[in-house]
Amino acid sequence: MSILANPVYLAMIGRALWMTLFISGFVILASNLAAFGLCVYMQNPKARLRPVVVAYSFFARASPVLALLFVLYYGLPRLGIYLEPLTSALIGLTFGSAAYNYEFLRAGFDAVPASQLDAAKSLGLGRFATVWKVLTPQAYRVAAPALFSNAVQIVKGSSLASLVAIDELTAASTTILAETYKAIEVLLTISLIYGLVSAAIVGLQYFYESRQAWSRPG
Amino acid sequence: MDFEVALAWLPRLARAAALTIGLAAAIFLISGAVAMAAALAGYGRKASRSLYAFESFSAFFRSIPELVVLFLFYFGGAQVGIDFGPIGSTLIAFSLVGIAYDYQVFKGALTAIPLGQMEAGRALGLSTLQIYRAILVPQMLPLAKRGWITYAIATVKRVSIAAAVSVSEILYVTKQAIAATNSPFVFLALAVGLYILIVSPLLIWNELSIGQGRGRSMRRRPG
Repeated sequence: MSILANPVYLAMIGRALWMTLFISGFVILASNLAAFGLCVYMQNPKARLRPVVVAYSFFARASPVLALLFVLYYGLPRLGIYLEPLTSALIGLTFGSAAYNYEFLRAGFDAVPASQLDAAKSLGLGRFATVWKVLTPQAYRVAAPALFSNAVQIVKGSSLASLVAIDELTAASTTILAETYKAIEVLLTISLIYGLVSAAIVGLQYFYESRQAWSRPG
Repeated sequence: MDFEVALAWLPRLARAAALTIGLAAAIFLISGAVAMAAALAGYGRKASRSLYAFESFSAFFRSIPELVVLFLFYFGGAQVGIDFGPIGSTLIAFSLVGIAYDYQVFKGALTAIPLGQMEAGRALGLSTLQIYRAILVPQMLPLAKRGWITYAIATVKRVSIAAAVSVSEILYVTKQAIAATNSPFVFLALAVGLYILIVSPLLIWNELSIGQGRGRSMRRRPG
């Protein structure tokens, strides 16, 4: 832990941690919103773009995140589009994880029994009320564990941004490593920080699940 | 013109794809075997120190980024005087990560098998190994299949991270090709195409197994 005693390295890791938290937070939020939007859209039987969504989900889940990041980082400048490294990392990571979140949430929507829809119809609920009041709360209850696990995956995945020139936690560790040659010390410290962030998310999941257990009828 | 350029790089890309498949297959086999053995050994045991140790091992390797695990062996090994080399580090690092995930899959599948089955096996005078082979494993595999394949797909994609320590797998060669030819889209499209080609059989096999086991919920679409 002696690298944390060095104020220069401490400041570096502090800044890098903020970057990791910002990237993770943004990607978690954006990919969950996108997944929710896609799920609601796919609930509509007349959705025209259904094959596009299916193809997107397959493509995004079949290709490595690093390849997606490279497309944005090396590919877009060829088209004359120059994005900030951070912007392209955010887009690439969100593109990849939104597909996973979509699949998890879709499984949640599929798990709501059909009788609930009949009940909603017989009560005269409109489509919006059916989706928002009946389907969504129950879908999230089923999908929550997978969505939380994916949030942990997103935090870990943010380390790949270091390979497209973003100064986040892993990039900071390689910088410090190159200066000190204390690989094990540096990397275990970084691992500990990642572990704490993951633990915080898992803690949030337990909190959410205990509240759900409370409000569950019967 | 792009086509000819791509053609010239095709042999190298093919070798890279073979390396990716080989590494992923080795990691898949090692992690599957170790994780299965560990899950079986822990089946029906009360909480013990070794069980606790394995759980924390699994939690550790599931909560830190793969890239950091890889660096831990690549740079950390060098620090203590062991040179694992790029491929050795990749194999060790990602096998450990694979074990951590596969262990959870097999453990979860085993919890679905009633403990009485093991006791029945004992009562019949079967040895522990026979109980594993004839009773537990055949019931565990169908339950674990979906999760196991999902993590096998993750393993294939994870090998791409080894590009960071200059293992010449698909993405590393792609990066070289982009640097040499300055046509990123051709090669990134080829790379993603190769990954899709490798992963598709697993993905399709996994989708097909949905109908079995738990069964799909019966519901109509709203509207």
